[in-house]
Amino acid sequence: MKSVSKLRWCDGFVCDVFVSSRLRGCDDSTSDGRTPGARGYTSQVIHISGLRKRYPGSEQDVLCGIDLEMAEGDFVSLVGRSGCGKSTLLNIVGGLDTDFEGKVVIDGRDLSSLSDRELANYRRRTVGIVFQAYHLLDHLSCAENVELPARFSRRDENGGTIPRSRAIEVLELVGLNHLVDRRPTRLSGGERQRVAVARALFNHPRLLLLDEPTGNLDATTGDEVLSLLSDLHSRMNLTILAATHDTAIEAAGGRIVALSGGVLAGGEGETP
Amino acid sequence: MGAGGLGIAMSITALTFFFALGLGVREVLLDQVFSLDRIEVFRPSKDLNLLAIKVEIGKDTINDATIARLETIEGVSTVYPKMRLMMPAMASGGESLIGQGMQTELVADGIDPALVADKIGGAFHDPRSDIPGLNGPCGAGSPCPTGLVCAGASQFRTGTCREEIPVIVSEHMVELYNGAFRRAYKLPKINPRALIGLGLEVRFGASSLRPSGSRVVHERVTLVGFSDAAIPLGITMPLGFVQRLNSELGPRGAGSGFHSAVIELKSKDAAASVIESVEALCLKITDGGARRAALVMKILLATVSLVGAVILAISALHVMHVFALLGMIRRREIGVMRAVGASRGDVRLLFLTEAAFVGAVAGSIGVAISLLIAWMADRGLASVVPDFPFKPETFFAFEPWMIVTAIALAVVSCVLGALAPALRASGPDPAEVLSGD
Repeated sequence: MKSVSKLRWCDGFVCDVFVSSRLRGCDDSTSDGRTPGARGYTSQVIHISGLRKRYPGSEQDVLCGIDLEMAEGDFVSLVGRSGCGKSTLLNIVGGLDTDFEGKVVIDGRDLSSLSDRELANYRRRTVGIVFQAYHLLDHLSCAENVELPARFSRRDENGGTIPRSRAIEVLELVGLNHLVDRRPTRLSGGERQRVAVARALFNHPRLLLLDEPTGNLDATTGDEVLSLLSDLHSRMNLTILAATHDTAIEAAGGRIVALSGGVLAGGEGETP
Repeated sequence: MGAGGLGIAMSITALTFFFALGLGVREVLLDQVFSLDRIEVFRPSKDLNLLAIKVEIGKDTINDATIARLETIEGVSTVYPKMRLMMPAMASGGESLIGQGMQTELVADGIDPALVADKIGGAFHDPRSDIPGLNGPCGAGSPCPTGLVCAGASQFRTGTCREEIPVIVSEHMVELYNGAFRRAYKLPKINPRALIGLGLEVRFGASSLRPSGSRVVHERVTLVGFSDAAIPLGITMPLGFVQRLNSELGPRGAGSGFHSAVIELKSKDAAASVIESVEALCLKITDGGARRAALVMKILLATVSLVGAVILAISALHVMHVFALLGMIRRREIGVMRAVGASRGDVRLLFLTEAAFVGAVAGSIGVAISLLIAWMADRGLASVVPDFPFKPETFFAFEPWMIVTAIALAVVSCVLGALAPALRASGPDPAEVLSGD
């Protein structure tokens, strides 16, 4: 089933992209027999409408009225040249950047209406972010890096789960349970990225954001990380939005959205 | 963070050291040099100068109402009035002590026995009036009942059975006798303690300077102790006895006005304020040294407090600088924490908790170092400085409240110093911080 894309033109450029990501069976009945309410039934996770972003001191918008919808379980690749606004979009969706215009509703919550504490809760529990630069803390061990979100959890938030147990569990998920006490400085790039993925998965997020996850890795290691992400996507039905130059990731994702200098250069994808 | 902690530790060391030194010196001044737990006040007389003489105008006594007002002053524990003997008196005796009899004019006053009870005990008390045989005649063939002595008896006259009047004298009297009087009259040197129990015959109303009055009262007095509350040159008797004597033999109204009052303070720190309140009642204090000591104490503590406050303020600024630097160094770490779910409040709490910890540790170290330096200073001063009057064993006073306060001040200084950096570090969005990497 093809996706439906709507384009809005302004000043000769496409500045609005509406991507309706519908998997097979997105309607009331699915071709594979899934029914509404059953596990895997798709519900809308991301709804972005008219998103604009201009950095202080800049004369033009870096994002010029973005519309984007993603359903549960979608794997969307955000492609474009360096500096086109991919990371900016991810930062906004991840709650890392609060200076924007437009509507960004993630998992039913309008990010612009959240308080600082609510936004922190959102970043901790709803979304997991994997950065190109890993952003691990060198003075902490792998397990301590992974369980870092638990340090800021409110009382009873973890449902009695011991953070260290959960950290070891997700490290096992990414194949690094043998490196629990090792510091990031003693890990390879691929291992560090796996630790970063484990940290992103610590609190069972609904949405996983990947900002150039293989950008600092060689091809072989990048393939390993991609394989891991694909495996996690299929096993855990994660909703993934990945900003990437990596064509392999583009191919692994179900949808491609292209940005060029903050405006759409064109692009639609098909369900594999 | 070590640099900031070191600065705080050194500040607390200096603050605690100087404050302990100030308190220690203050204790020496107040406990030994100028004992400020009691002050004596009097009403100055208004005199009219007429050539070589002064004519008194108005009364220079303190009445009961003024005593009552003194007792209401903040910082006053008890007020003990004093009354001078308002008639001439002559004392005779001393054969058993110096080998020959003596006769001398006598100056005396009366004080409340409670004023010296802690030192003299119950021996100094107002004579009883209910002893059987009191005021009965006595003489060579008719002794007095037990507990009474025959006062005023001679070969020419019958005496009267009276209770011995307990008296106290100042230790300066003995020093004056041993130092000057006995040399001039070639008399033996005496041991002050040997004088306890010494009895003298006293004739109240009699004088060698002018004809005696119509009535002379014979009493026998016995020395029961020494006290700095006693009149410097003379004898001090129980207040009630002096009041009765003044009423019977003195000028009209002599038994109703007190000539001074001893004010016992609740604490030495109250001296300055009590003196002010006393002077507001148009009274003066007898010892100017007490006022000067109170002033010195105030200036000393004010100076130490100012030095301490300046030192702490500088340390707080230093801590602010250190934490601002830490905020810059840890900018990425803070960005990562925010990205994984820390709120601005979590970041601020982290900074302030770390600052409080640094303050507690640094404050404890600072106090320990000041204790060590003070101990070394005491040891050095004990061996280098020669003995002098009132030389203390230690020049420092470390109170438990001071140590707790010093550590608390260190914590507060660090937290206040880290406040602005904490607010600044928690301000930016995570994207702003992490995008710089």
